[in-house]
Amino acid sequence: MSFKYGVSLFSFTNDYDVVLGLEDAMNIIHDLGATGIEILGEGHIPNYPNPSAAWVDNWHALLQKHQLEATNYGCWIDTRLHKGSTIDAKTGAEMMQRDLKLAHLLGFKYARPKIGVVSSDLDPDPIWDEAIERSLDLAAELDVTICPEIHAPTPIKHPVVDGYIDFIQRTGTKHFGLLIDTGIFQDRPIPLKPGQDPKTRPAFLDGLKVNPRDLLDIKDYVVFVQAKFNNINDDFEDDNIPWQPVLQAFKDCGYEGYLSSEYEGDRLPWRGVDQIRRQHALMRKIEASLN
Amino acid sequence: MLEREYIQSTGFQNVIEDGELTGFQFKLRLPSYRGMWASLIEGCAVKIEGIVDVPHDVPLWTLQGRTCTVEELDASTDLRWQLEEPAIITVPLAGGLKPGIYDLQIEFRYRMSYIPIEHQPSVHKASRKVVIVK
Repeated sequence: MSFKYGVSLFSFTNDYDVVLGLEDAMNIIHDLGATGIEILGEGHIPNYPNPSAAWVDNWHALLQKHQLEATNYGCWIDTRLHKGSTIDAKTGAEMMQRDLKLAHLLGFKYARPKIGVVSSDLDPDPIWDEAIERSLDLAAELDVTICPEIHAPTPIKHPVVDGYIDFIQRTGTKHFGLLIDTGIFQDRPIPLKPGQDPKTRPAFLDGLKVNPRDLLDIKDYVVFVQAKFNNINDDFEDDNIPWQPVLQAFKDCGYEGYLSSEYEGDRLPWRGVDQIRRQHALMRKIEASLN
Repeated sequence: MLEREYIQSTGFQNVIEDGELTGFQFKLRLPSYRGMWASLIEGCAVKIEGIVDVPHDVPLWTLQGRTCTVEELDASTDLRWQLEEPAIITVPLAGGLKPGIYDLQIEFRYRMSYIPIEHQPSVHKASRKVVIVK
């Protein structure tokens, strides 16, 4: 039993379409020995939501050439689409279904909707459950699992997570699960950016410090992992994420899915490309040493 | 491929209408990791010290070949600012700009539904020295 390794093209933000394109990115991921690629529909599909047939054909040809599989597809439910108003559940469902179809067209097995929020605690807009429930039949038909992310500042022990689990239990669906963003385990601060005030920046940037063992409480529902990180230093240590206990907890949960790199550090040219190499080397080394 | 800086140097030029210089325009790469529906745009203030200083709702936006006011962007339902396609932003300025180097400053406002409303609109500031060639 082992984890699978992938990369989100989010890692190449500000390099993508600037110094590298899709084929370059796939070359970089293949060269890591990784097998999965994650995209953001609105970030990486030219002419979203209507890619040309030629682009779709090329996408599949490039996957095959680089021996990669499409893993998770990022999308949005923009609840405040127009100023001063919010959308209804039917509109939210249409957004979700548009992206489920695109995800399926490109061969993805997971789709992460980022749902609009109504509180500083990131409670999702109350239309979320009806919008998703209206989309479950399509998700089952296409065999794409919808997975909202558990992302800082929302920890695992939180009503938002309880709500998602209640939804799974109530509907009995096999096509809805939880995506864990490893940023929730950050236990040391992200360095201040020039001009940033430690008192006014969001507190979670100092580290939400979720106990990785909390994963065991939700292990039946975790379907995908975005391996969020900011910096792996020259001493081959992550400055913010404690990978040893995090990966041990995922292993103890019986998780065998993807660790999909999400580099979110400085957007200096080519930095993400080097950082994901460091991260995969580090995660593989730690995985080999787990109990 | 696009330029790394959000304000693109290519595309900074005067606008001529009916033989008269009526303003200038520039291309802006979307300062985000995803493209967005045009209705999420709340505008872009533009300033060149001592020459022009307009609030966010004045410049016109050209996206996917359509030119709109900020109000028209909000009402749009099928128009997008794609990540791979810089917006053309047109600023009215009678007489345009003389050839030379300008310090162009912008403040772009947009609305992200997944960020709590008390922190909205999101604001992105950028500045760059760019050249009017003729």
